[in-house]
Amino acid sequence: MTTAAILVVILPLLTAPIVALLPPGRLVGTAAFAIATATAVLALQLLAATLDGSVVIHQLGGWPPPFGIVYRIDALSAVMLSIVSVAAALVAWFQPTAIVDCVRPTDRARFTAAFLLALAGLNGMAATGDLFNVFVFLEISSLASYILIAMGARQDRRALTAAYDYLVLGAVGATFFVIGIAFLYMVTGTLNMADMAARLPGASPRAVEVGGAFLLVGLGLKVAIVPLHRWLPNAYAYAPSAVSTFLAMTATKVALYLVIRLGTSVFGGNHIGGIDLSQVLPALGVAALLFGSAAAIAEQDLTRLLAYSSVANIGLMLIAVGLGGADGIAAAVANLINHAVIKGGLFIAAAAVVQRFGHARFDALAGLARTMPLVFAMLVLGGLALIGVPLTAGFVSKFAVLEIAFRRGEIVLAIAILLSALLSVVYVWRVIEAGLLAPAPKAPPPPPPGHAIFQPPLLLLALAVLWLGVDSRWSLGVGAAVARSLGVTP
Amino acid sequence: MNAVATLLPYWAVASLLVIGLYITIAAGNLVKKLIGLGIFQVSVFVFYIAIGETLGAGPPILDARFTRYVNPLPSVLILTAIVVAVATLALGLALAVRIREAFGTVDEAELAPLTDSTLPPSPDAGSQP
Repeated sequence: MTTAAILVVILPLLTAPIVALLPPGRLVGTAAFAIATATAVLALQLLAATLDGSVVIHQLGGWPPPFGIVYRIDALSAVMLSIVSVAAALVAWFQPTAIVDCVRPTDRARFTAAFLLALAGLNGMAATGDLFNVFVFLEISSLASYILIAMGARQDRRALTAAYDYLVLGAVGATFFVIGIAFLYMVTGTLNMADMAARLPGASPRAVEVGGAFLLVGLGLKVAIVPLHRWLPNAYAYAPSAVSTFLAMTATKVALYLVIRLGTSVFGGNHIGGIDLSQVLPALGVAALLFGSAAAIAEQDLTRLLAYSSVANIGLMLIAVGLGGADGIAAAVANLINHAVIKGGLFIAAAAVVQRFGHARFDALAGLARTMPLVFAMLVLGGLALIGVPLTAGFVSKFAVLEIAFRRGEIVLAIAILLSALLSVVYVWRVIEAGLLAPAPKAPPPPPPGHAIFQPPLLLLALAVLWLGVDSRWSLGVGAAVARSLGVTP
Repeated sequence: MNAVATLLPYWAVASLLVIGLYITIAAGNLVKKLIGLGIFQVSVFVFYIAIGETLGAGPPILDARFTRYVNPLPSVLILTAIVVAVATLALGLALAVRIREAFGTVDEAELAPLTDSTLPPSPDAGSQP
């Protein structure tokens, strides 16, 4: 089992250059799917092994901590590894078809290699127990993401400026993160997270405060906390649809994982440095919830609408993390899981629309209920889940946060969550209205070859949205196990 | 005097950091933004090296002449970050070249109307096969 802890990272990392050298053809996509699936199986095995609170540790090169780097998988890490790897496997399944229009045949092997590097980087961030190692993997995944986003240029040249903007903001964020690490290293003399947690109480408080502030702002850019979200809508909208699906399911969540990790395992007590997360994050979360939902209403493009809805959903997760305590962390983890499933389904539906109509603006959605019933059904189901309608996954996670807010007398937070649900009714209705009521085009373009490939992941995620809406063991139950393993006091 | 000498690197770090960050945000030219980003990242390199430095200490090798040693770890760490910064800068410049090919400009003010989100999609002519 300790080998699995490192395999989830080095399997995609080491196979990426090999995939890059493969000849153009079907083999590239098949190899990527096989690698991503193997990684997902390993990640789920790690999840099964750690849910009871045990920890899987792999010492790189046999060096014991704190001298060597350790990969330390607890329940929280395993949940993130599972979300990222399963998302990668789903995307790798339909990715060869989805990129036909945007990536030249000669570039597809390298595109797929960049996709595997992004997977390796995101998994590495979740697996490692060394703070500087987190930075390295953050940059691996970021550099790969910039490349993947820029590949959308053959469909829309704005992908280039979106990738550039993300690169500049991402580099600033990562540099802030590394400055924060420097301050903590200065006063603790260690980079190992567990070791650092033990030494922080005796460290100079001024340096810890400054370092914590740099870490939180740097991560805030990666999480896309309003007002640091400016890169996100363009990056998701202009990237190839397979890329935006993968990033929407994983990228911001892994950065949020680091916020949870720093607030519980490293600094503890829901603090990062001198910053009390329970005071800062709910306020930022309310801003993100209301701004994201309102901005989504004004959008004329399905992908951008979903991107702004992600900004809003990040706000909900921030509120859950900020509320803290065992139930707050459990609700945050449930939101991470459910949102990945819901947004995954919605973005794959959008990918199917883009594949057929060349774009996902609202005029492409006209008559979708008749031309693409399954895709439209996913859009409706996912939309209802975004609102938080009972019997969908969104209800479980939204209700969990709402319940905590009411129980602790945080009425303002509860009102903001309900208000954002109302706003999401409006933007979800606009999607349904376009698909159901607008007349279908006289001669819609026929489904392109291989279009059926979108159906298995759509069906799978649709069933998952319904299942998670009825059975909360796989969201709140896992979240409670994570909170227990982190030792968060209620 | 000694206090000034000890803090000098940190003053340099702070100045480079704000200068770099200011250029990154304020410059209108995409290449100049990347130059600002480079200066910003260099400030962090200096910061890490300054953390490891001890005045009057020798290199971290066994030698009878030295009793105090410089901490090598921050220098090793920042070597990694330098590689990352070089890769980021190269990718950023490559994107700037592609943006110049696709839009005919690398000026933010001129790009803004061309990249407005309400415009219909326009494929990049340069990347057609």
